[in-house]
Amino acid sequence: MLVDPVFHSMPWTDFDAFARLEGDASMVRNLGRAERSRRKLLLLALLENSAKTPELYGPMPPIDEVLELLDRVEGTSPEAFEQLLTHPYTGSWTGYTTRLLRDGIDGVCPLWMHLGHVHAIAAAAAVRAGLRFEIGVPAWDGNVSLPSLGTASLPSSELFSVATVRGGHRKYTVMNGHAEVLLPHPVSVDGPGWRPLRVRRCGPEPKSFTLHLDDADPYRGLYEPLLPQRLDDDELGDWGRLIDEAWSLVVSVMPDFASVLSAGLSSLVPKPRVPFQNPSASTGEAFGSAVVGRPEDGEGLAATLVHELQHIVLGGILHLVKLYESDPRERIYVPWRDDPRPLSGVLQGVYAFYGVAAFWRALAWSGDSAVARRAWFEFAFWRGQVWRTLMVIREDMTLTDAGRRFLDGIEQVLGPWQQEPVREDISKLAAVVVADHRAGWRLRHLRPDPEAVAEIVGAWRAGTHMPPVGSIQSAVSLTPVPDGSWPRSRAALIRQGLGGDGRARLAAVWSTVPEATSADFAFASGRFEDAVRGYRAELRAAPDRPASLIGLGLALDAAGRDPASRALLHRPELVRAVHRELRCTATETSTPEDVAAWIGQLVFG
Amino acid sequence: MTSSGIEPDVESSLLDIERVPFAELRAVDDEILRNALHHVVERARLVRAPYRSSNATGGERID
Repeated sequence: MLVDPVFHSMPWTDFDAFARLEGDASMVRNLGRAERSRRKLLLLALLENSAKTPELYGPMPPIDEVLELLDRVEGTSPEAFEQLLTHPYTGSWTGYTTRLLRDGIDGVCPLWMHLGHVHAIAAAAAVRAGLRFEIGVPAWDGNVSLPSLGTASLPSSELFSVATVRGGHRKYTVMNGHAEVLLPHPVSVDGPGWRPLRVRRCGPEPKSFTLHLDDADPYRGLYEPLLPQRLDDDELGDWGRLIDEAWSLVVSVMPDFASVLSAGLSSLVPKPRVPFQNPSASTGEAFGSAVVGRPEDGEGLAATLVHELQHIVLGGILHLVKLYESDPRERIYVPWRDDPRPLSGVLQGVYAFYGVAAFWRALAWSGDSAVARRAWFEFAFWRGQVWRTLMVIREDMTLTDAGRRFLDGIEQVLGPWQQEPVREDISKLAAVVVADHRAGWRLRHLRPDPEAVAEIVGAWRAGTHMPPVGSIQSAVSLTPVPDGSWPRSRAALIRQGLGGDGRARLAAVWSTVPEATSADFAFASGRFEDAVRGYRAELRAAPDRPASLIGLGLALDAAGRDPASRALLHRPELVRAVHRELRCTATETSTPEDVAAWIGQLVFG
Repeated sequence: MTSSGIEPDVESSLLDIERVPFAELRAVDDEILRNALHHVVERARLVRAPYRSSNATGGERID
């Protein structure tokens, strides 16, 4: 029986501080404590539920051996036991395997392999504790993961098999019927067949940052287990330099936040670079970890680390406080994704990009001239995008009182940023990227009323001077299924042009930006008449193409032709729907621009 | 314990077992622990992974 059971709690002052970006390391450590309780409970539930059916463990040793080893670890080295709970991928493993066990199905590997990962977790903890022991562990394509320590590679003809970890007193081996790997001492160094978990330490104290680069733990991904993808030495060197640069930047411009970052982010899963993008991701089940595509520079990584830390913190808060009622409907526009989102995802994005806006703001105000234009642009862009999204969700019916309070805290900080001066040319560029994405989203996810479209088409064919007002203002319906694809090439080109050598860089790289067209290049270069001609040509070949329709709207707007641009940027879904209908008639020769200019008489941006 | 002297702390449904040894926990059989286990297992079961994305500047998130 539990004596005086207590539940994890959080002072409201901490809750409010997180909302205002004023959290500190001790508050994040409090979230980490709660995560360890959560993982301990999930581990217990998983072991209890699976122990009822021993055959689920297939060729793995009986679960009693694991329990006995875990007891010895905990009795000998509570720190080693705590470490196994702190390791982020213990969280993702327990979640993933709990779901498999519920459904009684295999995952990427047979269920016994996923259940048997607890043997590997126990073995790693026992090595850490220095115990003498022997236990069977899963081997996936010959890879034996000892979570938080590293991976042994054994020759194996079987995709899924059982290996043995054996030893004691600083001498451990991992073996199967074909070979054995001697773990070096310490286990943090390379050895034949042994690939240790690598770590980057950034200093100096008191602002230090220790970040593991985990390219091997099977549960390091977002959805499903992964085989190791070892970084080579060059990649490792690149990552090390980027992490150093990013940390140095965060310490320099957001010193208080640096402590929070150091307390909250312990593991990074490195992914290959995606040109002109900074992809990253995380899951609430792996508190402390982020999956990050290798960015181009330290500024990009710093912004990404801040972004992911925000997700991690909010994930921890959500394990303690209910901010919204469950509502999976994908119904809200967000500027950071191309699809409508449920409220839960919107809130995550708001909090993450609020942090990103804070980072670029701090960098912009730091006066570093080398990155100033980029920093001001990103600040101007994200402060507005997050603000507009916040205004949409702040009165959402699914928010709880705590959720509304959290958003109020964000609003208190984000609101005054909207008035901070940003150079006009940079503000205009940010506004163009905002309008571009918003219009592209409308075009692909909003559907005009078919009756209204039919009425407008009829008016066009009748040759009326003005379209019917009621139909232009008719309601639209939202669908998560996109009508057409959306390349982000224009936004990428505009960002490429921001640096001191922006024009030259843009000219050098534009053709390598995926899906960028010469019209996009002309637009990003400020040659708006060329862009208009280019987009018209694109639309003659593909009159429904979203990026060409919106590009034409942006270029016409920049060139000063209002009615068509207003319709293309504010009612693009209607322009395309009407033009599609008109194209059904073989004699119809109007262009989307003609239709937009006509409809645009009644559209006001 | 209060956070501001006026307002009680946010109390979660997550049982604080950080100081309870795992070995002892396994021997416990009471309703509070059963409820706590049910709470975390049900939340884990609710996790979906529908949010795949090829987005560029944004992150993606699974919760």
